[in-house]
Amino acid sequence: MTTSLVPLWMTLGYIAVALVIGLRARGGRLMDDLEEWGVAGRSMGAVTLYLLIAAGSISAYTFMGAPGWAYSKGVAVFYVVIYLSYLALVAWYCGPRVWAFGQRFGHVTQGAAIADRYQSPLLGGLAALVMSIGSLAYAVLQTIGSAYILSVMSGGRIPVWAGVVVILAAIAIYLYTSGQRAIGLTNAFQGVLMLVVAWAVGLWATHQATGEIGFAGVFERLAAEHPEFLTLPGAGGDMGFAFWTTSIIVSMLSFMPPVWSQWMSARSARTIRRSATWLPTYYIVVLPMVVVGFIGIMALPGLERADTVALQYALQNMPAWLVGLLGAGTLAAAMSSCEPFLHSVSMAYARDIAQPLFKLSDAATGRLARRLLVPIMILIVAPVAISEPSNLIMILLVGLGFATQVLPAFVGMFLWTRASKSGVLAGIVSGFCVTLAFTLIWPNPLGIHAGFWGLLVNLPLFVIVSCLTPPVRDDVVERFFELTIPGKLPSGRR
Amino acid sequence: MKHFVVRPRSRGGWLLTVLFMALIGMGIWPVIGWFNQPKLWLGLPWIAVWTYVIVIGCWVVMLIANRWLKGTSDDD
Repeated sequence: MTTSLVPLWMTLGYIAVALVIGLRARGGRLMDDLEEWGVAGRSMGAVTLYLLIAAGSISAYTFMGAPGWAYSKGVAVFYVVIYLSYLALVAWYCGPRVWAFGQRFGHVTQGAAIADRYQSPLLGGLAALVMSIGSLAYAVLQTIGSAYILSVMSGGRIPVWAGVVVILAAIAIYLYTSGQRAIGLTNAFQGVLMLVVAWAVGLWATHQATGEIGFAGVFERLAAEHPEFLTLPGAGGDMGFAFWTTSIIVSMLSFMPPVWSQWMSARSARTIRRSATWLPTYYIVVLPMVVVGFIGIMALPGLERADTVALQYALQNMPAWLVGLLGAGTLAAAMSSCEPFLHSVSMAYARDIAQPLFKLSDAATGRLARRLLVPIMILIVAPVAISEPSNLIMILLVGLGFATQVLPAFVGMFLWTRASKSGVLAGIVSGFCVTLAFTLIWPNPLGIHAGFWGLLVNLPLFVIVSCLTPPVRDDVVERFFELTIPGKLPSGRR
Repeated sequence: MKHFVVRPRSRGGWLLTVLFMALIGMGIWPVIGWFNQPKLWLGLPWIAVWTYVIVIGCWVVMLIANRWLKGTSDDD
């Protein structure tokens, strides 16, 4: 096992490079404005947007969780690659419309779009508030992952609390300074780094385990010795067809707020389509890391924590420089996913909650969003991350389950003109209650994802209540659907 | 105002909708069950190969969709 300080210096070097890139992203622009700090002046090109969305969706899960799933469950891990590709389809269809709403109506947050479509600041604020639970839980998880990496790379010299402080300080400095532009450029750097690291580590591990460059030898041995890892429900027996299917559906229908901001940061609607088109190609990054997990089944049997399999394998079998590269890549994955969530929560609290509540001007709201970043980190993210709560995964699952329950609000934006404020509210509240119950009290009944059960109650109720309650004003619905249907509203429907 | 559900308004639009739906169908039950075998193809498990067929399918369909949109007034 390596005891060299090279991995630590490489990991710290990565943080320093990310910091410089993030600070330089500002380029002399004034950032006390949500158009600039929040959505980068709607100026991002296709390549930056591609890497921004790709790196944002590839979290520490790819370097820790995915090999861990392969190690403990087997091919069930590939559901992630499928739903990420489907998210690209969603981005291709919805992204240009969200961008057009933002550009025409001045929305910079998801909550603002909901409030505008349903003429209800209460609904927009409520959606923003509850979405922030999942977002903060996600940011905390990524922060814990980052601190853990620093601790491992330093051989335990950097305790988790110090790692949390270092990571959050780095993110705070460049995010406060350059906002969405910092996220764009650092994610571009992190995206390229992750791709290189994943393939370098995966191919090295494969060559070491089988003497070959291709993955065939790994799977041939697995097929002979542990065939249960090659099929569903997997070695753990807990990923049947029902859970696989409903997990994919629920995940692809979760419109998380940072993705919304990323779409609105694009230069044009066409830019979003171009980057969405190429997004699936990025997800080849998952394959080599998953192979490391499969190698671990034979090389490291009986690991206490499955999600440490890639790191443990690297520490025991790889040279120090490659361990350092893995540390930097994993940290890049964690930070690139953490920063968009922190940014979107700051914007949501300022724009969707504080502004309507205290009647703030747009200028004051822009300044507030930027300044809220540090208190959110100091008062919420850092203490929770340092305490490493055992039920955080549960909070995250409930939060993500809720994210899917906001679906009716988006149906009313993209697909159905009759959606009413009360219908959306009824759908969200009922869906959230069902998801909460089927996550905490009776987890995933019949092997079906709790969020899917929520949708089964949510969507019918949304339709029924919408039909029974007054619709939103015609002029509002018309201005949204003139953008949703690019060829303008069909004759006879206006 | 007469309310409505958004639907494709051209043959190309319907074709794209069907292709998007087909891609989603390819990744879930029952289709995924057909590939749930402990067998290898090109050195990878069947489900892994099928996963990347879907990935490539999504990419190709969106490429086709972009090309089709270029020829209509719907782009941007």
